[in-house]
Amino acid sequence: MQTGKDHRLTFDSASPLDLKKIIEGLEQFIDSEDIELLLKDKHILIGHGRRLEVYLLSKSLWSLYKSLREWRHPYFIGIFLGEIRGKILKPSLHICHRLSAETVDNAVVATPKGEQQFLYGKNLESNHLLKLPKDNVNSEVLVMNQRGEVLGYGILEKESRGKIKLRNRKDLGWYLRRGG
Amino acid sequence: MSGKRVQRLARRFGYLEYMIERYLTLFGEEAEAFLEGNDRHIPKTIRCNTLAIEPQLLGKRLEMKGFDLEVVQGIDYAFRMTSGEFPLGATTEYLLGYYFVQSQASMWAVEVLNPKGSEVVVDMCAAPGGKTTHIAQLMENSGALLATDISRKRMRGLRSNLSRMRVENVLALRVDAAHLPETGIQADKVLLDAPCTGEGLIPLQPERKRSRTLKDVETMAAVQRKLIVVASKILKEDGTLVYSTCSFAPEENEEIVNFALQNCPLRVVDTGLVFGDPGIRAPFGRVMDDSVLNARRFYPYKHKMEGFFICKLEKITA
Repeated sequence: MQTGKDHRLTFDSASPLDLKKIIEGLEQFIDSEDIELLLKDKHILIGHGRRLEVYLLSKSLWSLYKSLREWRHPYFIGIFLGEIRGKILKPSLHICHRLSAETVDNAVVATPKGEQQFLYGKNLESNHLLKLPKDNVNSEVLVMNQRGEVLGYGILEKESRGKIKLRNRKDLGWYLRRGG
Repeated sequence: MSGKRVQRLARRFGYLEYMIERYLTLFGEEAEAFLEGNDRHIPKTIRCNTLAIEPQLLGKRLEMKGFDLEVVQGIDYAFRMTSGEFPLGATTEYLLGYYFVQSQASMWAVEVLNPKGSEVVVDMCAAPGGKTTHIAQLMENSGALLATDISRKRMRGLRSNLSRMRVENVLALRVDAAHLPETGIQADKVLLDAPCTGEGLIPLQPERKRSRTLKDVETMAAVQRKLIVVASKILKEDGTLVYSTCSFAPEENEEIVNFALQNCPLRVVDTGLVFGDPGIRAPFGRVMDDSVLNARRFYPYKHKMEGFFICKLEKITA
């Protein structure tokens, strides 16, 4: 999530290409039915700043946004879906909150010790991973605790001796470390 | 008032003398109890985020981690922490957005506002978002909530808290609230938790006993007068405004309300709270509108929470 002194965004509606990147980013973790549910009746705005930020707005919020005359440079609006980097959306922590064991099939489960390590921003060795999805080496996976709560996401990597390791990409500990 | 008594109390409790003089005038015989109350520990309170978890389940999970909790009377989704072994801001539950560490008094301000999911609500001095996320929770993430603040640094905290607490109905603007009428917004409800000298926070930050002067009170009062006029302008007819501060100073509380009654189409209405002291009608001999008695004051020595002032107003139909 972009924060800090340069945070001033100019907003546009999402283009068809933006929409493609958004859906492809979400498809890493969520099936298409749930994506449809997430986007249903929402307006998608792209915030142009240092990065491209994607926001989802309900009808009420869209109506408020449109009514704000020239004050259309919100600091934050609705649901922050993530940032478009290159060819794909990088989902936000907010999206992690909306996911659960029921909606996700691409997840690893961390041990209690692994949960703490991951929330400190650390990578996880295989002894901290209880459940691994099949055929997901070198792809992004969600990280859950044993209660089925999403803690963030990372990339599964195979080390030289064949051991699996999870590289931390984003975790909820960000709120303490950098959230302000 | 005896100068020696003022000096003695100022020395004993560590305050600037002008503050003691004011407390003796305002509270009379209760002044010493008031000062003693400011030196007592106030238990931390948390608000369960009912957008994410049931209060009972959260209570159980935190108790399993060694926290002793009791439900706050009147707010069944809030807990008072009576003991605990590690910081409330360092649990997985905190990171999952299951609770917000929030003072009980500020929760009451939002309860008095009573926002609904069908409404347009404005939180004028929103960052870092304790009350904003609480308003969103009571609106069940529906409707529209405009949250504004002027501070760049505090907006960063607001953004993080909105995300952590799973809030989805907020438009956050970094703007000087004086410009809000230019946005054209007309709100059903407005919360103005005004910037203030923060005397009510003395139990948590004892350095405030010596860090504020009467000039600071006057400066804050000038800001508060400006903000309450703005709040009135952006409110629909029959709309509700809740004005609150964490100050004991009548200049920042009853006198601001009295100013608003004289200069804006507003009237004071009952907060609906069955506890708290009434507003002070004639502080330092200056007589206010009778209706300021409907405001509520909270004191650490009486109400076991930080000092706070809450007044509910309605915009009168022209």
